[in-house]
Amino acid sequence: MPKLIDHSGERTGDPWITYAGDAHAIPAGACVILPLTEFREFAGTWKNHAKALGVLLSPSDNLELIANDLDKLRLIAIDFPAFTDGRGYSLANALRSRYGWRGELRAVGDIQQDQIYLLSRSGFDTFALRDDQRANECVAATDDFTHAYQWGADRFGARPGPQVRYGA
Amino acid sequence: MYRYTEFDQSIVDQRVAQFRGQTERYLAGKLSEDEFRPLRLQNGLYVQKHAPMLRVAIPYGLIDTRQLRMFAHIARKYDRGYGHFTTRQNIQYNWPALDRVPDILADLASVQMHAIQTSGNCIRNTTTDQFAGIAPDEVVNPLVWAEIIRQWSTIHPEFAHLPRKFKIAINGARTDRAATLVHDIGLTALTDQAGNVGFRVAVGGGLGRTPIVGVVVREFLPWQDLITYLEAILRVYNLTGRRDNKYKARIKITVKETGVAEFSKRIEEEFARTQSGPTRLTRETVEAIGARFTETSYLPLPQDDAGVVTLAASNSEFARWLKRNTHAHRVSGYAAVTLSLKRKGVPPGDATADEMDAIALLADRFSQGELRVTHEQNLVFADVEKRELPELWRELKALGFASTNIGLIGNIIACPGGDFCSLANAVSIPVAAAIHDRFESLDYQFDIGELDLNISGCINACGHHHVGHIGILGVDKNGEEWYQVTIGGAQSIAINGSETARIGKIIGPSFARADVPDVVEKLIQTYLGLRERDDERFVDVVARTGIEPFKENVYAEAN
Repeated sequence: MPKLIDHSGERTGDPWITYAGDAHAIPAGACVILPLTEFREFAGTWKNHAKALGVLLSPSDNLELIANDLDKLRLIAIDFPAFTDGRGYSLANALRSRYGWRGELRAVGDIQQDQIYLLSRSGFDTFALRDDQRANECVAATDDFTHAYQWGADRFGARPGPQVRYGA
Repeated sequence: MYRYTEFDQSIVDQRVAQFRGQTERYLAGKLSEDEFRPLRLQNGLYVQKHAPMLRVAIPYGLIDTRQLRMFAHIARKYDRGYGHFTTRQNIQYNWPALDRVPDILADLASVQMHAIQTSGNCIRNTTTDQFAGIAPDEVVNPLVWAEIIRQWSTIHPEFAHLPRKFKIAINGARTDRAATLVHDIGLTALTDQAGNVGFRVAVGGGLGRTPIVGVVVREFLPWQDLITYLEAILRVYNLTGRRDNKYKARIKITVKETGVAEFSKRIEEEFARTQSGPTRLTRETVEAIGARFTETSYLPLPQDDAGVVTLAASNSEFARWLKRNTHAHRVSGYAAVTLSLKRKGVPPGDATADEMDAIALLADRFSQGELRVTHEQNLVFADVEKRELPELWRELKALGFASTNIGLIGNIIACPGGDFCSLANAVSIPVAAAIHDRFESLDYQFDIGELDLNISGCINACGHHHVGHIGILGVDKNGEEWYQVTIGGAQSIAINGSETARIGKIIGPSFARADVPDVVEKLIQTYLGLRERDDERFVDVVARTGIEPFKENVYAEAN
């Protein structure tokens, strides 16, 4: 289980389980994160089985495919297959600002300290860290900058980001 | 010159602290080579052949003398006593120690400078016309817009991990001196009939492996929409640019593979969704940033100065310098002056710490304490009183910066090449030196007239060889250095009455290093034979005749 943090510290007791092809591994009444294709095809079935649903997006996924189903979701996770793959930042921004997503937005995959500030500013509010990462240092990284030039999708999150010069 | 507020200062200071921490973690083995690479690149640090190389941003080429003295200080304290001014209006140090780089960045921050995003897959330093703000042919001063773009692009959270590097250039004059059409985004600031400022937007230009001239996607974008539109382009590129092959990852390939019409449609769709959002610029913002620029004060002076006219009549060397190295100014009685960093025996663009200090003294005396770095690797004093030109000329001559080769074959642009750069296939500096020596005679240079000769040591094209009237590219053939020659390239040339950029054409098989000066000589001789008027430039002749006559002459002997 990767360590999970938010802006205030490490989050213990994360209720979410990611479905990876074996339905028997998911107990009834669990909070389940489904890959996009699974969610699209079987959301109805899962809704009866699970307590709450989340979806896992890969960086190439088209957000239009979940645009009408956001009210069925309690969490959206975006995968970073490599920390240099920057597509997830644009997806997060679009979810927050264009689609109005206000629920939990979680960064998963190759997530490490030096991305945390940028991820946070793009609207992510929880971070599933790579195994070798230290939670306290990653939490501190959300405050790497107290001032920023650009508006960010963090304005929609639970915790405001740095002081912003433009578009605040 | 834009002066920082505490807000700006806080960002560069915290960036230094962030990078200090990252460097410490790397040196302690807590960050792998692969993890540290994008972090150090986005702070200007390359690992080169002999040592790390640090590239410091000179935003849109503008610096004051306090900053130039800091460059000199850094060259002395952390490097080998010199720096290299680059084709992207930056300065590079070739010998810093990795563990001292955070200290260098802290010294830079103390004079409102940084190395943020001078490398890596992010938005790079925005470049512009070296005569911005003072050129008589200027329609809109691009400096405030360049600063707005600098601020917007600095540590932009969404665009720090793009598929590949991203370069924006902006021009506000009738002649494009910023080579905007060979940038990922090229902006031309202009006004509509009502006098409103806006931008012509071109995307997908670039040099490198696949040289392409950018295509215009907006003829007139109102200034209020500038940042929103840039974000729309970057967002579409970030999501759809190729990440599977770094040679196909630049936006020019995305535009080509998607098709201009489709790519443009996607930008417009994204823009339509965000147009009324928080990135829309207000007059208040633009004015506030404009107000942070230092004011240049001008005296009421007559257009011509008698002393200058008299000296020019009696001293042909001064007359030549006036013709080549001084440039028209929009204010009566003022001129801009180019200091040539193209000197015999010195790599193009290099200056020592002592020279930087000496130049700083002169800029304080003659040009209101500010200067510019040009993409031709020279320096410009932008605000010189004409009556002081004779005195400035004497001072520059004494320092060796008065070579009258600006715009001529002696003004060779060259990347650092194989002597320093680990990407290079071949050396550039010795080739530049050999050509420089061959065409040392200034009479000959003046006879040849305007000619841009650009040399790159590899296909990445840092020496902008594609847009040289003569371009020379180092290539590797079975482990040996060879040189491919292109002609007819131009960063800005009038074709059928409109300005555009041109990519040079390859004349044929490449040459051994020793033969390059002869080849250039043959090209020049061919040109001189074909020239119909004295003011028909080399590049104009190539445009008129095509490359065939040049090709025939150069390869004649071999057949």
